[in-house]
Parts: sequence; structure tokens; C-alpha cells
Amino acid sequence: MSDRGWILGGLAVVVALVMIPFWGNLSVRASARGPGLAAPAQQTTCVLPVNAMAASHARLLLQWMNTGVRENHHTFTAFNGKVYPVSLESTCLSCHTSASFCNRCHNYVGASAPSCWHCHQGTAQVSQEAP
Amino acid sequence: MRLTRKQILTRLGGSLLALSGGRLSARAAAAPRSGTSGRSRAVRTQLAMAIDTKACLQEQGCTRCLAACHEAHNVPYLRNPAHRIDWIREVPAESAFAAQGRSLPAPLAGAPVLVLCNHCDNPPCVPVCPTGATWKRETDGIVMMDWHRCIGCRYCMVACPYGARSFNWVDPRQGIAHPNPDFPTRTDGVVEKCTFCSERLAQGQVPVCVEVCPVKALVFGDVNDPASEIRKVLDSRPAIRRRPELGTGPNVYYLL
Repeated sequence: MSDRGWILGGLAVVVALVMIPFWGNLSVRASARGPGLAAPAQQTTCVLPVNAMAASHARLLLQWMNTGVRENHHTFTAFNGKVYPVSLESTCLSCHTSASFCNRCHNYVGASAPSCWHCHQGTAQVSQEAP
Repeated sequence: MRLTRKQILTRLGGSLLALSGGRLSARAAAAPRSGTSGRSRAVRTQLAMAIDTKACLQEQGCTRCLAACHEAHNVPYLRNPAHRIDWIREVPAESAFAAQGRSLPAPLAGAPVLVLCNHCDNPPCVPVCPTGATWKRETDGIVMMDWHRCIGCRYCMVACPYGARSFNWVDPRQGIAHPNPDFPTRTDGVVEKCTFCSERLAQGQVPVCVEVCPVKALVFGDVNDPASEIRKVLDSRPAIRRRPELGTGPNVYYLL
């Protein structure tokens, strides 16, 4: 039984190696909760309830893209009766002024960064985004 | 009941006749409807622009419409002439009306004229687009563009006899000095052109070039509306269009 030290020591080393991803996460203080929503300062509600927006904002954006550009229909009546212009610039980007709002969650879930920002520009970062 | 072969054949023929008769009458009922829609298409709204060439020349060296348009729509200024993007530009009358040769009438001969998308009645750029990124809008006759769908194949540029379209060879943001945050920029690999300020029309405004012209040389409106200013000016003054012989039905008129 003189090998007990080696065995326990070896096990400890193996466990430490196996848990490397956890050490990595601990060292950067990562959390399983993901990035929260960065609520804009000016508005308290979005065009959809927050949960619906989080789940289906991509669908809404595609719908707005088609109604605004192709169907020449420029108003959207929200769930609370408020009427918004169907415009990325004057509605969405007036609150969410930079791509970092989108990228925080897109990065977290490993989704590609939205290409909207290649053309649509937030007021906060006009001319600064040119690659 | 016993049917003879003759009776069977007669009844079969009769029912076939009755069936085809039903089809025909349904078609006949549908026909007048398509006829009226054809007629309404003839008098549908068609936005157009009349450029008073004489008035335009009053202001020597004025390029306010060009600057206002390009600033409003984030059209870049790029040094390389091969990369140039223009929604509206000034060219010598002899090149705008090349088919007229040297026979241009007085105010035009030797003068610069404005050229832009003609928003044709029968736009050759539309049927060639493989993605439906450009189309003729039914409600007002504007030849629209959806930059989301443009894949940059440039068939439309080949098809357009007026050179009204420009291609983004490089990232246009590098050439935009004062970006307008209310309008998107484009990205490289996309074709763009004048849209008669569809974004301003949606808000009840006139195109920005019409608005800023200091001598009111640009008249804008529905050519099919007898009460519109443009209809009246076209009825009272002679006007020419660029290459109408091609059958494109251009909707930019040059008043003489």
C-alpha cells in the first residue's frame, strides 16, 4: 500500500486536467446566464413584448424589411397600440444605437453577427464602422 | 332501362358539351374584369419629372440638387472615376441626347443637363434581374430597388440604356463625408440608383432635388393626373425625352 500517494496524486492530476474548461470559465468569471439585455435609456417598451422580441426579432426584422421596402407600408401597430414607423433607422436604431447591442448575445450563442449593420447605421457610430 | 350504343354516345357528347360550355361562360364572366383592370392600368399613377432646361441653366454652376441628393442618400464620393456612384449627374447635352446628333435645340446645345433614372414605363432593367431586387412599383410607377436582394450581377446595368445605375466596387462608407443617419448606406457588391426619393414620398414630401432647386426647374408629379403641375407643363411646353425610340417609355422629360 505504499503506492497510495501516487494513486491519489495521479487522480488529482487527472481531475484537474479534465476540469480545465471549468478553470477557464472560472478565471474569466463566465456565467451560464449569458449577457442580459442592455435596456436603452430613452424607452421602456419595445415594439413587441421583451420575451417575444428575444425569441422572434429576426422574423420581425425580415417582415419589416419586406413590408417597408417591397410593400410600401410604413407603419407598425404594436401590441400596446402604439404606432411605430417601419424603419430600422428611425425605430430600432434610435434606441439600439450600435452593433454591440446585437453582438453581445449573438456572440454568446455562437450566431453570426447580423449583417444589417453593413448598411444600416446607428446614430452612435456613423462612419466609424467602416471596415 | 336499356340504352342503345347511339343513346350512350349522344348523352356522353351532350355532357361534354355542357362541361365545356360551363368553362367558357366562366371565362367570359372573368374577361370583362381583366378588361377593366387593363384600362385602370392605363391611367394608373406614374410619377415623373420634368426638367426645365432653360431655368436650370440660369444658375451658372449650380449643383445643389446633386449635392442634396447624394448627401440625403449617403451616395459616396470616390476618387477613382471607375468606382463612381451617381444617382443624379450632369452630362453634356450631346451625350445625354446622343441620338439627336448635332441637331439639339437652343437651350440644350452645348449645355450640361441633369440625368437620372427615367423610371421607365417599360423598364428593361426589371425583367433581367434574377432575384427580383428591382421592380416597377404598381402604385406609383417608380422603378424600385431592394438592396437586400441585390446580388451584384449587374445585368440591370447592362440592360439600362441610360447608364442610370452604379455599382459599388468598393465599400462606399469610405467615401461618405457626412453620413445621413436616417438613410442606410449600401455595401460593396450592390447596384444602386435614384428611387425618386421613395422614402420622402412615403412621408408626403417631394424628392429632395425638386425641393432644393433654387429656380424651381424641376417639376415632379403624376403625369397621368390631368390636374397635376407636371401634366400641365408638359401639355403647354415642348419637351423631349432620352431615347424614347427604344420603347422604354422614360418618365424624365426635358422642357425646351
